[in-house]
Amino acid sequence: MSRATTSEKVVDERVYEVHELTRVEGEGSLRLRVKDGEVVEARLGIFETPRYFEQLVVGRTPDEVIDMVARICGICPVAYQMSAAHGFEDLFGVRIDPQSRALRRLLYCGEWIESHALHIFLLHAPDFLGYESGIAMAADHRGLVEQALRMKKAGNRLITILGGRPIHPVSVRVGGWSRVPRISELKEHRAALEEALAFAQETVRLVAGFPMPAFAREPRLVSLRHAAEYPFNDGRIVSSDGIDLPPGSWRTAFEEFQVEGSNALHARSIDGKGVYLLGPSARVVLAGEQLHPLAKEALASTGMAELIRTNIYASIVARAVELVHACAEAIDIIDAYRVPSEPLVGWQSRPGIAAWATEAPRGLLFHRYEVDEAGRIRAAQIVPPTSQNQAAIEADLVVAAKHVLDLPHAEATLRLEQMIRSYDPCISCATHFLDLRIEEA
Amino acid sequence: MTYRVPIFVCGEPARGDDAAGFAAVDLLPGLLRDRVEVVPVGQLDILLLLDLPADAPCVVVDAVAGLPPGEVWVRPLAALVDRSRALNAAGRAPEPRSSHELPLEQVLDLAATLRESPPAGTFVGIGGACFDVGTPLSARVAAGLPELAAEIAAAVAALTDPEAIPGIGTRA
Repeated sequence: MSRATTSEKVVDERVYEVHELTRVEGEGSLRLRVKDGEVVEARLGIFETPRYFEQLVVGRTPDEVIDMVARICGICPVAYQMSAAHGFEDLFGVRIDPQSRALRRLLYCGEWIESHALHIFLLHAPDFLGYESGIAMAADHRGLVEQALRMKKAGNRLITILGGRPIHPVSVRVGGWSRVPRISELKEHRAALEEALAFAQETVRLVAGFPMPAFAREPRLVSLRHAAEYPFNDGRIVSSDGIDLPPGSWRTAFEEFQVEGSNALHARSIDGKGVYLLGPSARVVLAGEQLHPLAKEALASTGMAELIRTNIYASIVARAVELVHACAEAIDIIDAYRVPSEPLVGWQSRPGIAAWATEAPRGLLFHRYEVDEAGRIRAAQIVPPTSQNQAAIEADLVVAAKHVLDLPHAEATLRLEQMIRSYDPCISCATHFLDLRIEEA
Repeated sequence: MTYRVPIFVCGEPARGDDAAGFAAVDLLPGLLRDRVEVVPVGQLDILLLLDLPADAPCVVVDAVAGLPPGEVWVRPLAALVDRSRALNAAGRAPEPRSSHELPLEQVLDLAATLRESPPAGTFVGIGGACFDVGTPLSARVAAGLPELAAEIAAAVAALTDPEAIPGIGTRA
C-alpha cells in the first residue's frame, strides 16, 4: 500500500485486479479500485474474441438461423433457438400446434435442469461448502455430486429425446418440429424426472441452509412474465419498477452500448436508470406467482423470498426453486402429452422485423432479425443475458467489495468470486480460478 | 450375456489428428467387433464411467497433444488417475479449456472419487500434430493408425479373454 500525501490529507488508494479468468466460455478480468475505503471503480472486463454470430447469420434463412444460433452456447442452446423461432413465427403469423408449444416448454425444462444442476452443484455450492472446486467437493460429498450429475443427465436426456442430441439440438423449426417424440419415449424418461424432482426439492432445503454472506441492495429486476405460466418462451418483458412490454419490444426500453475493456456489449435501460438484473432471482420475484405449486411450496418453506430479491448470493436458492419447477412441469407435460396433429405448420416468409425474448437459464435473451423480401436475414441483433447483467455485476461488486476490504486476501478473493458466480454468467465457470492481484499504488 | 467392452472414442472427426481414434476403430479386426461396443463420445462424459458396472472395464481412445506425432501411448486408466492426483497435489493440475469439458485425466479422477476406485480399463492414445478444423490427419498420425488399432485390440484382449481373439497379442 502506498500513500500519496496531498496538501489536505493522506490518500489511501488500492487497486485490486483480477485477470485472465480461465475455464470459461469467455475470457474476462476484474479490476477494483478503492480510494479511502470507497470503491471508485469496479470493472468486469471481457476480452474473449468476438464471435460474429450476428454477421454469420446474415443472408441465411430462418431455419438455418435456428440451427446456427444454437451454437452460441453449449449449455443454453435451446434459449437461442426459442428466441429465434418465436420471433420468426411472430413475424410470419405462424400459430403452432398447442402440443408443439408444450414440447417447446418441455425442451426448455430440459435446458434449465441441466444448466441449473451444473451451476448449483459444480460451480456455486463449493463456495458455500468451502471447497475450491466441484471435484474437490466430490471427495467429501460423493452422493450429492453423483445425484447432481444424474439430475443434469436427466435434463440432457430430455433435450436428446426432443432435439436429437444433448447439446445443440437440431429438431426445432419455424412452425414447430422436424420430429416429435413418441409418447412412449417421454414416458420412459418419467421415472428419471421423478427422481430429479425429489432431489431438486432436497436441493432447495440444502442450499437454503447455506450461510449467506451479508449483502443488501435494492435491485431493478427484469424478466418475462406471463399470465398463465412461469416464463420460458413467452410473456411480457416486465421490470420491478413498471416496464411492461411485448416480448419483441426490448429495444423500446433498453439498448446496447460498447464499453472500454470489454468485447461484450453492455446493456442499459434508456430511461437513464441504467443497471438492471436478470436471471432466476428476478424471475422468482417478478413471476413467482406462476411457479409450479411444488416450487412455490419449496420457496415458501425457505422463507427467503425477500432475501432472494436483495441478496445476490441467495440466487442459488432461486435457482434451486426453478429446478423444482422445471422438473415438476416436465412431468406434467409428459403426463398430458399427445402427439401433435400437425408437428410442423406451414409458413410463408414475409419481410419485416422478427423480434422476441425468452428466458434462458441466466435470464432474458433477446433476438431481433431484419428479414428481406427473399426471406433471408439482412441484419441481426442478439442480446444475451450475461451481457445485460455485466453492469449489475459491476455495481454489485462495489457493494460486495465494501464488505471484504478488511478480510484476509484469500477470503476476500473467494467472496468476490462467489459473488460473480452468483450471476451464473457464461464466464462464471472460470471464476473458480480467479487470480486476484493486489496492486498498491 | 457377454459383456461387450465399451471403447469410448474421444475427439472431433473434423479436427485434423483429433479424428485418429475414429479412424483407428474402423481398422479393428472383425473378430473383435462382437466383443466391443464402439461409443463415439467426443468428450468423455463422467456419467459414462459412473454407469459402468463395478469392475467392468472400458477402453478410452483419444489423440494426445504434447506427444511426438504418431507415437502410440498406452496406460491403465488407474495410472492416469494417479497422475491427475499427483499433478493436483503439486499445484500443476491442467486448467480446463472451457466450462463444458474437464481434461480427460480429471474426468477419470472424478469418476474414481465417486466410484471409490479408479475405472478399470486402458487408455490408448496417439500423439497428434495438428488439431485445426477442416484439416486431414497428418502423415505421421495416419502412418501410426495400424499400431493404434493394434494397441486398442490388444487392450480389449487383455481386458477380456485373449485366447478368444486369435492373432491378437496382449500387452502386460
